[in-house]
Amino acid sequence: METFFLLLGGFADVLHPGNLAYALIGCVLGTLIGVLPGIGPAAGTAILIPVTATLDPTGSIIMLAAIYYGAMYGGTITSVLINTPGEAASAVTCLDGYAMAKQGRAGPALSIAAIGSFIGGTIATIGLVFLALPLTRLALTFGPPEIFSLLLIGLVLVTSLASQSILRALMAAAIGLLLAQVGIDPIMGMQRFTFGQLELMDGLAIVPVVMGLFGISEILLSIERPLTNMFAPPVGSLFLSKQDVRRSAGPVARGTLIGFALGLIPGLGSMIPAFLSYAVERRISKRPGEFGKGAIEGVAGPETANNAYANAALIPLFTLGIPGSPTTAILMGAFMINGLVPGPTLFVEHAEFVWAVIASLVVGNVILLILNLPLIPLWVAMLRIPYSIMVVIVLAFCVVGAYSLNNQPFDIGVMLVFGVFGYLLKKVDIPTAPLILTMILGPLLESALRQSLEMSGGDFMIFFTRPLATTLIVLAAVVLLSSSLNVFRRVKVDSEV
Amino acid sequence: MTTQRLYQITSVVIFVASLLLLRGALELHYYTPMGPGPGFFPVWLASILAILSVLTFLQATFGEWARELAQTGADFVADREGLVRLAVIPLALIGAAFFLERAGYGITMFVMNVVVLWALGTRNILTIILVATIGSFGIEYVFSHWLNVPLPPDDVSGLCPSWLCGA
Repeated sequence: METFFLLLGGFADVLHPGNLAYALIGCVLGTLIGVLPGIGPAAGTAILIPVTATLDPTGSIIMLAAIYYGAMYGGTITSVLINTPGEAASAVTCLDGYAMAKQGRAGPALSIAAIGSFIGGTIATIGLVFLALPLTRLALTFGPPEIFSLLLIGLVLVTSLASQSILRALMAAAIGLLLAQVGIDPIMGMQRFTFGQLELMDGLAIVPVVMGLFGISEILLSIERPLTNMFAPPVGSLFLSKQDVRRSAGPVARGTLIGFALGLIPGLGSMIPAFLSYAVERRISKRPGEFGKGAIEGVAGPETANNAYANAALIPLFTLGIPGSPTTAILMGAFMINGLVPGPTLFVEHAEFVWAVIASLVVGNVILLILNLPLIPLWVAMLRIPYSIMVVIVLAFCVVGAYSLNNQPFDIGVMLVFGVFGYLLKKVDIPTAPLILTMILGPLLESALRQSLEMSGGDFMIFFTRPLATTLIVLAAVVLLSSSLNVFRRVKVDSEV
Repeated sequence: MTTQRLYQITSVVIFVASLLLLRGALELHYYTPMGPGPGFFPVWLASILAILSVLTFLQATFGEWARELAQTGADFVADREGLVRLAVIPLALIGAAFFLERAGYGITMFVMNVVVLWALGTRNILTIILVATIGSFGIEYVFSHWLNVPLPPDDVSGLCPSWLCGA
C-alpha cells in the first residue's frame, strides 16, 4: 500500500504540464536518435545532456529516461524500413521486419513493434514499482564488502558477455578502471595520473568520454567508406489483422517475461533479450520455416523483449546504483550531475524525485505508443536527409555538450581523444561497453575495496567471512572461469551501444 | 596487414602503455598505516593489463586460432578518400576547441560546418550555407536563448535583432 501511495504521488508530479512536456520532448528526441543509424542510445543520451542542463533534476531525468527508451523504439523503424538497425538491440528485427516491409507489410510490423514495446515497457515498469522498495531495504543493510562484491559481479557479467574474446573484454575493463584513477585519490587526496593538468584534478568527465567513445568514433567508422543515401519503402496501412493479433499475443507475453528477467541482471546488454526471444519464438513456432521470411512473431517477440529489458535495466540502477548498460551508465552520470547518487539512499533521501521518474516511465510508454504510429511518415522523411548533414548537426551538439559541461574547450579535446581511441578500439575488436561501465564504477569499486580493507586491517579474508559477499565473489569467479574456458569461442554478443 | 599482425601490434602497444602506467603507479603510496594507499589499485590494474596483453599476444601468435587470424586480412586502413574524410573530423574538432573562446561559438561552428560538409562531398552552395548556419547560429540561438546554456559569444551575435534575441 505504501508503494501505491508513493507511486500516486509520482504520477501527480509527472502529470504536471512541465514534466509531461519533458517526457514528450524526450520521447521525440529519443525516437529520432534511434532512427538515425550510427548514433546509438548511449551517445544520443550523452549528446542531449546539455539540453536538460537548466531543468530541475526531476525534469532532467524524466527527459533523459524518455530519450533512452524512445531510442530503443526508434531503432526498430530503420530495421524494418531499410534493413539497418538504428541501435544494436534492433538488429534481430531486421530479419523478419524488413522481410515484411518487402511484402508491403511495413505498417503492421511497425505497429506490432510499437504495441509490443508499450506492453513490455509498461509491465517492466510495474515490476520496478514492486521490486524497488524490497531491494532498496536489502541494499541498505550492505556494508563496503557487500558493495564491493556486488560491483564486482556486475563488472564480471558485463565483461564476460561483451565480446567474442574474454581477454579483450577484460583488457577493456582494466583500461576503464585505470581511466577512473585519473584525478584526486578519493581517500588520501593525492593526485594520480593528472600530468599537472588542472582540468584533470576532478578526473575525466564522463560525458565527453562517452560522446567520444560512442558518438565521434561511430561517425569516424561511418565516413571512412563512401557515404550513401537511404531509400525507404512505403509504409502502407498500420492496422493489424485478427490473424496478426492472434499470432503476436504469445510472443509479446514471452518477450515481456524474457526482457524483464534479463533486465535484472546487470551487464547483459539489450541484444541478448532480443535474440533470446527470437530464438524461443522460432523454437516453439508451428511454422519455423516462415522465420526470416516475414513472420510477425519475429518482430513482436524481440521488440517486446528489447523494451521490457530497457525498463527493467533501471531496477539495478535505481535500487543498487549499478548501471547495467552504457546508456544506464550515462543516466547514472546525469543523476550525479544533478547532485543525486543512484542506489538505495536515493529512495530514502529523494523519494519524491525517484517515484516521479518511475511514474514517468509509464507515462512515457503511453506517449511513445500514441506519438510514434502517426509520426512514422516523419521518421521516414528523416531517413532521406544525407548523412553528411547529420554529421554536421551531431558534431554541433557534441561540441555544445562537451564545452558546456565545465565551460572549457579542454573537454572538446577529451571528446576528440576518446573518439579516436574508440575508433581504434573498434578496429581491433576491443569492446567499449566494459570500458565505460568500469570507468563509471571504478571509483565506487575502489572506495568499497579500500574501506573494506581498512575495516579488516588489510585482511582480504573479510570478503570470505560475510555470507553475501562470499556468495557474490564465488559467483563472479565461476562466471569469469566459465567465460575463460570458452576463450576461443566464436559467438559474438555485442553489448548495447 | 593480417588480423594476426594487427592483434600482435595492439598487444605490444597495450603492454608498453601498461608498463608506463605501472611505473607511474609505483611512485604513489602503495600501502599506508590506514590501509591501501592511492597506488594500491593502479599497481594491480596496470599489472593485470600487462598480463592480459601478454596473453592476447600469445593467443594471437600460437594455436589454431592464430593460424586462422594469419589468413584473414584486417580491415584497418581506409582508402585515400576515406582517409581524407577521416582526417577532417579530428582537424575540425581541434579547430573548434582552439577558436571556440576566441571567435565565439557561431562563427567557429559555421566555418567548421562548411569545411566538414565540403569534405564529406556536399557541393551545393545553398545547402552548405543553410546547413552550416543552422548547425552554428541556429544551435547557438536555441541553446543560449531557449535553454539558457551559455556559449561563447561572437561579434555576429550583436547583429541579432532585439525582438529575436532580446536586449
